[in-house]
Amino acid sequence: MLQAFTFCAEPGAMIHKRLSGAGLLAVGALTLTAFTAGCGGSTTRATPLVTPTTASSPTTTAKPKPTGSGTAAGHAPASAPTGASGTQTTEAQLALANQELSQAGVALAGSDGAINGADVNQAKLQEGSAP
Amino acid sequence: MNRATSKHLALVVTAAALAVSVVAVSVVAVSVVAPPAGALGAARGSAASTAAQCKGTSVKPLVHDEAVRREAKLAALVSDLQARRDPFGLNGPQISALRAASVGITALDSQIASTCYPTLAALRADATKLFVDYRVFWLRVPQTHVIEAADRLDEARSRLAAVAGLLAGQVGTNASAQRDLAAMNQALSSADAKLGTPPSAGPSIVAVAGLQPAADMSNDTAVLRGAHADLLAVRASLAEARADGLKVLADLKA
Repeated sequence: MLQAFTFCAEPGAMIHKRLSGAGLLAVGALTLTAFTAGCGGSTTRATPLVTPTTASSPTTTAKPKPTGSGTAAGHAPASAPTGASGTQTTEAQLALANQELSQAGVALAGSDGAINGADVNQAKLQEGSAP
Repeated sequence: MNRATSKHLALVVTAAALAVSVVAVSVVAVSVVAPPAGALGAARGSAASTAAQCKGTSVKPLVHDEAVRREAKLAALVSDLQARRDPFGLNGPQISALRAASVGITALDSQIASTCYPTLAALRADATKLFVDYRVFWLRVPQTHVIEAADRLDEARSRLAAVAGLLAGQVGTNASAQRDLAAMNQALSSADAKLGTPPSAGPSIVAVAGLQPAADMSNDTAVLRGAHADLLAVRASLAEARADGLKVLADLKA
């Protein structure tokens, strides 16, 4: 990963040149290219939109996109989540927040009956007295 | 006496004998079934005497109805609490108190029903226990609802806290979202001050949970009123926190 970020500071042509010199396989080159693309977007947004929990998921970390789209979800916290994966994660988080807010509203409405029943001024009127 | 006359006389004698037999049987039957005139009078006197000695028999059904009403209410309260999560650990002890009250009321109801009270005052003394010793409606009902309301409000509170955590990772440099999220967290803190945070309930809720039936309900009433006011405040704070959370969502989508 450190090597990949080192490449980020260099011109793309140099990266490809060094890659060729190292004699890496084509798959490896694609991977590093993906890292480079991810680093390239790091200056567009200071705050990551993907939570660390999602970003550190073992299913996404350092796993290159088969399509070579240039987005690596596993690097989103340290780089730019401008790709489709980051956006989807943000939307999922906001959708979850919206859902929890709805549930909180239901819980609040459910408390109204209990709060009304806790009114001692009303309750004591039901007590009565011995005949 | 010729032969025809003799036959007629025999028939008359037979009929007379049958009539005598019927009368005899009837007399025997009456003597077996019916008590002597003196005994009947004594029984009537005894019943009248018992009725005169046991006071308030006409009031007992009213007392029984009150006992049944309380038993039904206590069972409903237990059912309400059993369905809840019990984040503050107050539901279990309250359920035990409600069940103990129900058992006591059932026993008192049976005692009153089977006791011959020599005076109305004696009956009234026992019947008063049904009201004063248990305070089902004056204490147990609002007390249980305070505990239930705290339980329900904590559910809302925990969901809102989860939302605040989610939104904290989303607001970024969005100033409006940051401001609304701060307001949300402030509202949640205000709710926590009165509601408490599990497993520790707020002070007024804990005070209510510890109340016992009393002849003088002044203190109980004051404590219950304080908790009710706190619950209303918590409800308002959480509603505000929810509104702020919705604002943050709108800020982020804008």
